[in-house]
Amino acid sequence: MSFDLSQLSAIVPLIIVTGMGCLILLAETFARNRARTGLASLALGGCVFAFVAVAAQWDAAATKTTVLQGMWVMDRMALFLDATFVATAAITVLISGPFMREHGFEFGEFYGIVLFATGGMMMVSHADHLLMLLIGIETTSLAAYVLTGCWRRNARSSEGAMKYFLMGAFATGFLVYGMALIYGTTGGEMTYAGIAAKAAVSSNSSLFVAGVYFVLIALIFKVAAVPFHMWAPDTYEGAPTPATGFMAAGVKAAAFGAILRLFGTVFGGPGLPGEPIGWVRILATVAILTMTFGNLAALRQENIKRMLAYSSIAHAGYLLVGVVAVGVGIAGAQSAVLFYLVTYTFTTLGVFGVIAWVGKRGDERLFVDDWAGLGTARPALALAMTIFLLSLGGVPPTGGFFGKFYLFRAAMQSPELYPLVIAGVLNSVVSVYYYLRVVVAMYFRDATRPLDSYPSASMRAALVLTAIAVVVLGLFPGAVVDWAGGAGAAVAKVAGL
Amino acid sequence: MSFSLRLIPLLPFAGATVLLLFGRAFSRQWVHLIACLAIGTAFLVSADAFFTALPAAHESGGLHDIVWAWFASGDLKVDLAFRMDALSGVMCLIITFIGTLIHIYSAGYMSHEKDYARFFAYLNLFCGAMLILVLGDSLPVMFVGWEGVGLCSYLLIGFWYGQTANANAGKKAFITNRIGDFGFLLGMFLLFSATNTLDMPGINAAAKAGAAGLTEISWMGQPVAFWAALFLFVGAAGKSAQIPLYVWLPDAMAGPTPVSALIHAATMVTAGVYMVARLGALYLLSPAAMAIVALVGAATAIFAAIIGFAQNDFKKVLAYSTVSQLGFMFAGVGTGAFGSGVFHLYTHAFFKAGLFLCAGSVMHAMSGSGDITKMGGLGRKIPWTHRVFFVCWLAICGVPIFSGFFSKDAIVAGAFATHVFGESLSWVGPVVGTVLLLAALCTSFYMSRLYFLVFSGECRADHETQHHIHESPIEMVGPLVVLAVGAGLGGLIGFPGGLFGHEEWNLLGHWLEPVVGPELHIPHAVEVTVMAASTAVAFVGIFLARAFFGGGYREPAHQFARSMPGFVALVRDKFRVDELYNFFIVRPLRFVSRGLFVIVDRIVIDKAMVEVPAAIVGVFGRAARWFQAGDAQRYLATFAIGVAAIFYLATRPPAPDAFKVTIQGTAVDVDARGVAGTAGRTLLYDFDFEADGTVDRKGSSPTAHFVYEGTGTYVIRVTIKDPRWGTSTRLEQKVRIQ
Repeated sequence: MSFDLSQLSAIVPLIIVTGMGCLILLAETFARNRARTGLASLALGGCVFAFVAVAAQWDAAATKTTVLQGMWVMDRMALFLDATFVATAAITVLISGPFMREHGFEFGEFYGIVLFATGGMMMVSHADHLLMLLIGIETTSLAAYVLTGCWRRNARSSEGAMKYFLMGAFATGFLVYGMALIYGTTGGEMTYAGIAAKAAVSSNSSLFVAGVYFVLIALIFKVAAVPFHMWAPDTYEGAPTPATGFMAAGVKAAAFGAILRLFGTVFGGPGLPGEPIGWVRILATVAILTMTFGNLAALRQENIKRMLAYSSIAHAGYLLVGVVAVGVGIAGAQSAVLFYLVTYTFTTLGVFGVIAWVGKRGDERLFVDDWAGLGTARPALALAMTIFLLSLGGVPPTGGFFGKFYLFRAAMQSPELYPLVIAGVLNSVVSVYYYLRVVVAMYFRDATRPLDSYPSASMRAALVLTAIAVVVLGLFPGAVVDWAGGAGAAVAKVAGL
Repeated sequence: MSFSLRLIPLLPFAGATVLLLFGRAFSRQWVHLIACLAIGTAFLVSADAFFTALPAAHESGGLHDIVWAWFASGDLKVDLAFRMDALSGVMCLIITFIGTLIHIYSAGYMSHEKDYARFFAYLNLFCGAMLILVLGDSLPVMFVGWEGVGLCSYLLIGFWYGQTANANAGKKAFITNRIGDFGFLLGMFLLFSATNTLDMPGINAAAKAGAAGLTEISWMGQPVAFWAALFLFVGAAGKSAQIPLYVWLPDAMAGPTPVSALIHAATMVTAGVYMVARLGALYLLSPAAMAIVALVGAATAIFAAIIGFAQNDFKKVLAYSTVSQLGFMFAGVGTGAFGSGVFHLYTHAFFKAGLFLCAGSVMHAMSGSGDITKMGGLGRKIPWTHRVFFVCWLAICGVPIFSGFFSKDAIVAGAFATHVFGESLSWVGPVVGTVLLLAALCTSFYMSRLYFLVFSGECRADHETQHHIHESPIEMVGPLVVLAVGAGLGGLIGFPGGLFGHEEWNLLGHWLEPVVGPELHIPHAVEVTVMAASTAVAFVGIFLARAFFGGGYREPAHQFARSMPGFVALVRDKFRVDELYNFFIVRPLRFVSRGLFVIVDRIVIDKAMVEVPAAIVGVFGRAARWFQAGDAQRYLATFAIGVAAIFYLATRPPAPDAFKVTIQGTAVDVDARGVAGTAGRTLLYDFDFEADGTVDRKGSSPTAHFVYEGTGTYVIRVTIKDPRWGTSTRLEQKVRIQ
């Protein structure tokens, strides 16, 4: 594990996004009033370059390698997630510019912070060392707190940020404490491979297992699983809409990346047969609670952002079913989770993009009733919203359908998991009710107030892009499944160690 | 041989897509240019395929184009594949050629229409679906086209959906066709179970070979082939408006006139005839099915023709005429004269499209009115329309040399000469032939009535309307003239050369021979007699009509109406079939559905499935609101409770429901392998077989063996410990040792 400069090539995407973030912060200092679209373009350019860099690493990452003294793992799962993060950041930048301009709080740091958060997520997905994981999670979280609270004149935004920060700090305590316990009981191991090698023995120690549960609690806090979801409704509702989309899609995907890597390989999966640590049962319970609670609570929401916050909790529940399937060693469950993350990312970004574009200054139109008549007033926007909502509900021919299909099909391979699948399918049925409420309002009711909005080419581009992505994922899921499968296989190889 | 046949349906689909998506942004010129180009190019490709590529491929079953494997499941493999042989090729040419003419005509006819792009998009869409229907190489692909044309028909009948009558006519067409489609599907399933294939060539090959699956007797003493053929014919009767499913077609005239000409006269309604001809080998297996097809066709032909006597709406007369002519075609294919049926389909496409477009032109001139009692004397005012109508009229009446004469004659002669019905049903042929001759007489009469009332005598319209009468623009008259040429001379393509010892003069029969088999051999005597008879009925009909209506309503017409007022009223009311259906089908259905609505909707769904879960969710919501009250302290408390719960779940002592005890003499075997929650954990088991506090067996094995010293009742106590958390659980069970 020697270090030489050439290993830096592994972190080129990270260097690009963080470097571009720094550049944007510098440029912001000199930016005049109207020059901020240039900053958005810079951020966008950074994302494009980072994406290219990620794609360029794909072939070389067919086999897993570890660089930077065991800190940084290069495999296809990490790259797959990187690509998702970069796309998330790019679409967020496209959506947030016009939104902030319309609502009068555009500042350039926003783009820089989005890029820093993206860098943090990359660290999470590439982490092969508990410290790297901690740094990545904290980088992402700090950025997310700021993004939530950046709309300073909006009280809800500050409230959401404050709560998110308090709860997040609490969760970080669990993360660090858990890491310390693991470090102590394994005899000073911090790298994943080292911990995995000792997990079978150490799992007889209650302190080690407690450490694992602490880490698990901290990570499922980040994905807003019940009962650690309390921050999500307030934060998602309070954050500026594009930031909500970014968090619901990106931060969640990063946390699931960490969960997959840690719990799929280090603390469980095929490498540790018979789940000696016992987290699978816990997570199965959490999964059922999470999807049921999320959906039932979403049923009663009138505020669309809050409704989607609960819906996002429910989706974390579906994803946890996949994680449980990974935990009991089902082949293909990993790629099902990754595919679900991609479809969920595009769908969520799209849905919050539409919400961001429906309102205007002083009138955000966040209630279901405000959306009445959108179908006639702005048919294209309503169509896009319908596509996204159907995808969230898992209705073909959208990506969301295949996401759920692959996830549940993976879980179906083990009879023990049938209750989870049944709960998941029932929950999907329930969820369609509140998604369709919005569709009904858009198409079957007359507008109460005129529905005009500000013109924005970048908003349109982002929505067209996400809508096409969602439909393409629903019609031709094959290619992405193959990539996700490659990503999953990369991890399975690690598991065999 | 392969040829890019997919281009043919793809072109109109592309046109439809462009027009549906961007049509509203285009100017009218662009809209009709795109639509006409799409269908026109499809015609050129069809013609190229038919005249240059097809002749070389006649023997090998025609041109074939597999686009992709559509679905495969067990034995069922269906490709999205197209095939052009002489039969589908002729259909393609008819659809694209007449389609192109009607597109051009529509540019003039619909020029004042608001939804111009939508109209042309639907028209293109229809052509694409119709081409899929005829080119489809398997029943499922054909069914896609079948449903597609049904959808377009629905959309176009209801094109002016603002008026309730139009929307209702669309629905009527759609629902009536559903009944037929159900038959089509049943027939398709039956064929698959009998032959294990859904490909047209496969089915026809199985039928020609007399496959056991098809000839085995199934129900009511009839072979499977009979039922399959009959179910498919139900589908055909729905689409092609035969008794008893014809009722939608007259109402369908609510659509724009070019639609009536293209869909409800020339192309879509002939799909049923095409299907029967396509699956001719199957039908030939069952004389009874053939007889039903022929008899239904003949009955429809005369029934609809009689209704045509008393209709006063220009398009309604033509609609019933279409129903009647479709009956002729079915009688043709039903008597085994597949070539003749298709021949009549082809001539009919020309003269009926011509007649409908003339109707459109006349109504255009008459400010939109189609009431023939208010017309008359239009021959001088709109001369080109008049000339075209004149030619098409002679064609449909069956005046020699004009196209309808040859095709109608071929069908009638075929009915008299056919042998397909065998001994027991040999009466069918002559009966069908006679009825068709009578129907031809009626046809000639009602068409002549139409001609004289519209074009001869003095105009009966009001002054204002008369003032506005004008000839239609060139884009309408041009297609009319082309159609008239086809209606006049098109029959020569199926010239009965056999009469002169030159079978090869019958070009169409020659083309179709590899597909539908050789033409029926018709004895000279029958041929000549039928020709003479049909010529005679054509002229008798014309002269009778002239006596009644020449130059307007004449005294004999009034006299006739007075002498039989009941009959005339009955005919005018279309034999009150709609009322009959309403009483026997619609009303009972409505009664049943009202009952279902009360039971299923009001009670089961509203009460049991909506209100009860809603109440449960409500209770849940109130509980959740307490936790999600909004202050961070409560959130953190929940967090802490969550952590505690997780640790409780994780450290919960293992609790198998009970352990199993097996007794053999004085020996016992205890199995404490737990059910839920203990799998995979490292647990320690203490076994105390006498419950006296001394542990008899201990260790990580969940099973233990013990031999008691004497008989009696003992209590076995098992203590299970989780060394990781230090928790334990104790279970006891009583055993009696004898």
